[in-house]
Amino acid sequence: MDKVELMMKSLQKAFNHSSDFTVRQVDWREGTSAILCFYSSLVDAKEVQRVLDTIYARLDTNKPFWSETLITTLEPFSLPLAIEHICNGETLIVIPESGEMLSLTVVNQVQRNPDEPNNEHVLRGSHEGLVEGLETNLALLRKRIHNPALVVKSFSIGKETNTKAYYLYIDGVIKPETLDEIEKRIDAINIEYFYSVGQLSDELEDSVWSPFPQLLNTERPDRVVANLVEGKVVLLTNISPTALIAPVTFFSFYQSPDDYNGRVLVGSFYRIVRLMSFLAAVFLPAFYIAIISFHFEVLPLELSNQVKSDVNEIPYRPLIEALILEIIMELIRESSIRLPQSVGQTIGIVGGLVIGDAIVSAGLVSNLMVIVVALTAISSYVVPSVELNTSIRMLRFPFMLLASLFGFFGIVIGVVVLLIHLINLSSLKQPYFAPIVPFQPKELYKVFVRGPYFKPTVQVTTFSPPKDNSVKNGDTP
Amino acid sequence: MAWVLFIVAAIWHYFLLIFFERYYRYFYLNTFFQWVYKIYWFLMLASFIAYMEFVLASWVLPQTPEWIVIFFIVALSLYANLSRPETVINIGVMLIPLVFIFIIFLMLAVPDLTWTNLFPLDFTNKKEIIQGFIHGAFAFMGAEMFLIFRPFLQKELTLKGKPIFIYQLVIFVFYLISVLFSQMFFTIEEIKLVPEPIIYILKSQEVTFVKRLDIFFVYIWLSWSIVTVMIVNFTFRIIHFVKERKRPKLQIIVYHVLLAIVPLFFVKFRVIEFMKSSFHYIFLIFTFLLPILIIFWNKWRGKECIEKG
Repeated sequence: MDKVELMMKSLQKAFNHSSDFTVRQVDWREGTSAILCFYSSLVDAKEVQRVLDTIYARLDTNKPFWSETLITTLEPFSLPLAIEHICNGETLIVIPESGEMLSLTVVNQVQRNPDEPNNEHVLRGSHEGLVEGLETNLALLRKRIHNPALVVKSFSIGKETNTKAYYLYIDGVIKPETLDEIEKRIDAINIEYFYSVGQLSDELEDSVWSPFPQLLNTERPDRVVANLVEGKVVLLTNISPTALIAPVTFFSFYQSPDDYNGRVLVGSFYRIVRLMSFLAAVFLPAFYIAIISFHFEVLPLELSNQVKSDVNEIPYRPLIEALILEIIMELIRESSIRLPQSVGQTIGIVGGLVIGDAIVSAGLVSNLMVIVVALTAISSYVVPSVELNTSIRMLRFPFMLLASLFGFFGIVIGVVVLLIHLINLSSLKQPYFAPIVPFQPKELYKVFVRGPYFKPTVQVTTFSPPKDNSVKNGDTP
Repeated sequence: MAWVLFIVAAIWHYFLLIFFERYYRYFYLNTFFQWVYKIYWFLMLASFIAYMEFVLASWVLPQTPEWIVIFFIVALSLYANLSRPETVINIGVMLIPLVFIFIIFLMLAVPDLTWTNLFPLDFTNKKEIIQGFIHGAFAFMGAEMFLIFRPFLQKELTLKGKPIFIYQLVIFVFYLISVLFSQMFFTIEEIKLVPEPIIYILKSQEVTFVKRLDIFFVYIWLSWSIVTVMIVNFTFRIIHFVKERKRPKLQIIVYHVLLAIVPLFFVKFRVIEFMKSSFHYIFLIFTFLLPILIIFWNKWRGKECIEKG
């Protein structure tokens, strides 16, 4: 058995005789042979053939730099390195005679178009979205930041999967301690098989058991850029369109690109509406339960009579009533996500209208409770972040329980616990509840108001032009 | 005359803070005085928690067992005190919106106020003036904690002047509004019969969206009372752990367990009434006399506390 055959066998063995692993003996220069190997599933065969033709032509004319192109690298052969190249989708030509290998980076990347993400729609602004490919994502970002200060650093996740990932930041804008912290955490990642971006979140978050996300997830390149210029670090992986952004605050999740694409007043108004929706989404059912169960006396007399007659016909306690409706709501939501879009809408109609109406007619829940739960559901979907949205929906259950046990006292207990938790939280060791805690009065308005990009310069008014000697005679200056 | 005496008490408190700011370095507590203050804060809190339970039982939670209410109040303080120190220091921020809501609620009573109730002023009865001053000064209970926390601030930071003035002005205005509204809403004869004037003012307000504003106020008051409990317990924690001690978390838990048990013995009408009528004098010792004595004593000895900022 000659050297080439032996090498081919060892390569086959190294790749466990996979069906999509191709190893071929090819003619090389002056009657020698080389080994061509690649994963047929990862390689663009036509493009490889074209590059090989160029290299053969160079070899025939004995050009000294035959191997040098933008997509080829000639280096000494080593089996681990060869495995790494092939796994990355490169084509390898092993030359046993010289003990070298030539790698051709012609990867057949399977990825979709950078369409707008389904869960982050905006009315105005860019409609591009990140995809499951790092190079495309970087192109989308570099398109927006033409500056070498945008630093891209690569690392791999998963000891067995070796998934490629990048972290990005803008040099000079990011705080050094933030960069140190993220690098420390990336170094400490200990995952065998990486297949979901959630694994990366778990490794990087300060507190995994908190219901609040400490990394902002987005699939929008404009949102990524907006965060990069604020001094945040962005993580991208090769397997998901989701970019992870840190450090963030609680209020980062309430900002939408639409705030900045629209007018100042409109953007500010909707941001305030979104923040108010947090209160409704978390506290409204608890507040209702507390009033019905403990504090009927706070209602005005007319409303109180109506509510009493409505509630008296319901056989269950308000908590059970609320739980029935909330669980139905969660079921409708889950089923509409899993089903195809056209069927999902039908589920929404069946769930919302038919079940909603039937459940009231059956006397299981009151009309008021339907209103409260519907308002709560609408409020919880206002958050422009899927992660916080789910957390908020989950949070209202303990509040409902506390309200059912202790009325307003229970809500106060829950609010204090929630506040302590939010104050304790951090994102990459930066305070999560800033600018409220630590209290920064000068920054606080930014939570509620989207300020203009520039302060207007003083302009000449139309009706009272400034006195100017050069125009006193009516001459045009 | 009460409102005038309150203004005098507020001025007195302002000068007390300026004095504390100037001489806080000399507020060094030896082991004996550390224990004196720890016992004082513990008993003060125990009686305050008992009072909180008493008010809640009277107004909103008549059927909830006492121990449950006390357990939750203390449990919240325990959670805060097992957290980072920054958490307790910053938790007071939650009071800002509550204070605004309270002021808005009170403003609804403006049409019912009679400003002539504030007059005439009578300064002939010296005993009443002194008692009024002491009661007014009681609003600023806990000023000694300024001396405990001040060394933790950055050394170069100076508080005298504008920062202390703004702080004093904010709490002064907040309290003064309560005093003025109570005086202008009730006549002197009426106010003698009303145990909690603010709650009565709010209860009497007729608004369209809710019937009982006083219930909301009770929970606003409860929220800032819980914050007070957390902060006083945190001060205890600071003093207690000046010396390095083993198992700090366990000690904090034991302390809170005691704090949950002791108030149960105080939740009686007579005890509460006794405390309400006597705490004004006890506070003068620990907030005013003792700190000044300790400061002068240490200044004379040349003993200073260590700056931690």
